[in-house]
Amino acid sequence: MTACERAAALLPESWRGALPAPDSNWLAAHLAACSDCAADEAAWRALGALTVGEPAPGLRARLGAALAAPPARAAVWPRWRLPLAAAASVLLVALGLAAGWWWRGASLPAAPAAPDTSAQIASLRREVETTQRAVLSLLRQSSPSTRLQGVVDSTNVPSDDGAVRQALLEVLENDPNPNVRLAAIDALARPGADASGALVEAFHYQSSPLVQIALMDHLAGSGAAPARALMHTVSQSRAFVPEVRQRAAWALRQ
Amino acid sequence: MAGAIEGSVEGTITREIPPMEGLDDDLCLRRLQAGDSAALGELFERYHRALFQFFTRLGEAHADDLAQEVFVRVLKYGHSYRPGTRVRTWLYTIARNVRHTHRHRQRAEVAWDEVYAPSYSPPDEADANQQRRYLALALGRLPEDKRELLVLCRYQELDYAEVATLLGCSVGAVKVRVHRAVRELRQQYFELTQGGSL
Repeated sequence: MTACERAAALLPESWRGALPAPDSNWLAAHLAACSDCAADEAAWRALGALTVGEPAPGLRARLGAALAAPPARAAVWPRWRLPLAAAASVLLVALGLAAGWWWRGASLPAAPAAPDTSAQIASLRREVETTQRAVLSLLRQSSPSTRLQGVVDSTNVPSDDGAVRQALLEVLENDPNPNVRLAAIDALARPGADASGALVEAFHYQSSPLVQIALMDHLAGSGAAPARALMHTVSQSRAFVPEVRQRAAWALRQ
Repeated sequence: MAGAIEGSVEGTITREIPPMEGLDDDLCLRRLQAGDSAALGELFERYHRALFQFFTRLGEAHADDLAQEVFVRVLKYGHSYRPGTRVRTWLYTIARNVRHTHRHRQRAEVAWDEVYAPSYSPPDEADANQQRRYLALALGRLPEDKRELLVLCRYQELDYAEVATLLGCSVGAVKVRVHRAVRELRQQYFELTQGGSL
């Protein structure tokens, strides 16, 4: 067994503080002389500096609420899936109505169209307003999964809806969760929406390389001067990680 | 002790049973099995933070929901706990199952540099923050099994015997694997930083 193999066998024990003194002394001397094994030790120590956040203070209350709910419901529909369940219910009702409407139309003589059309338009308008309110409410919730659902639902609202667009921009600039921000990019940049200026502005708020790269993907090929200026700056700046710089250079070439 | 647990079922907890804080995990769980729901609250206080951070460190976007689900399952399947088993190991077994189920439903993972996002620091700490950012990215690049092993051994305060029970292997195998995982972490860090070392 080489000295490094012996060190590899001892290091995991030393990380537990469970190494007998003779082995501990031998290992210390080896680490002082062997940079490769010393780097293992350094990596283990460096991992200790990676801290993560704390759970939300209301977690215990939520557990109590979950346990108080009827067991079958709690098991089938975890909390983060409730918006999905609600959306599915709405879809089923809508499909049922559409099927009924089609059946009526196919089996009965055609009715005068004008009054029904205006009623439909009024109904659709109400539906859009309801969806808009629901989206704005979801985007304000504390749970990332609920906000994510809000961003997804926002695509059911016309892209020129000012309130929803503004809310999505705020999400993109301020939401602490990168998955929510990534979804907001897709929602803002959906086909037919002119989001280039907003995406350029939002880029300056981003620290996550993933989000930065996603923004570059959406700006790729844009002829707008601010977008091209941003791509050029990012591709040249060492303030960004290499992956982001490379993606900016690629976007500039599109 | 069995008599004391039976007493809790009859609603005489305060006189016949010592306070929860004084109970070890095993007794706590046995009280839960006997129908004392307050024991679940005590286990929650002891472990919810560690479980939340376990899920967070593995890149789960819904760490709070998953931690909650662990305790729902503890209540649901508490009868399957065998006295004498280490409760902490049993809880992590449930946690791994919860995560396994969740990952089959959806794959919403947090970006690694966000999981370990450093808080604002003065400029002279910028290099250290940058090192942590790359280290977090390197951890995220590890294969799932090595990443989980490092999280369990480095952060969750589990000893190698517990990790071996969780993973279904020997203690010796855990030690070998944890060293290999550290080596691969170094390699990933090296590639990310184009030659940097920790």
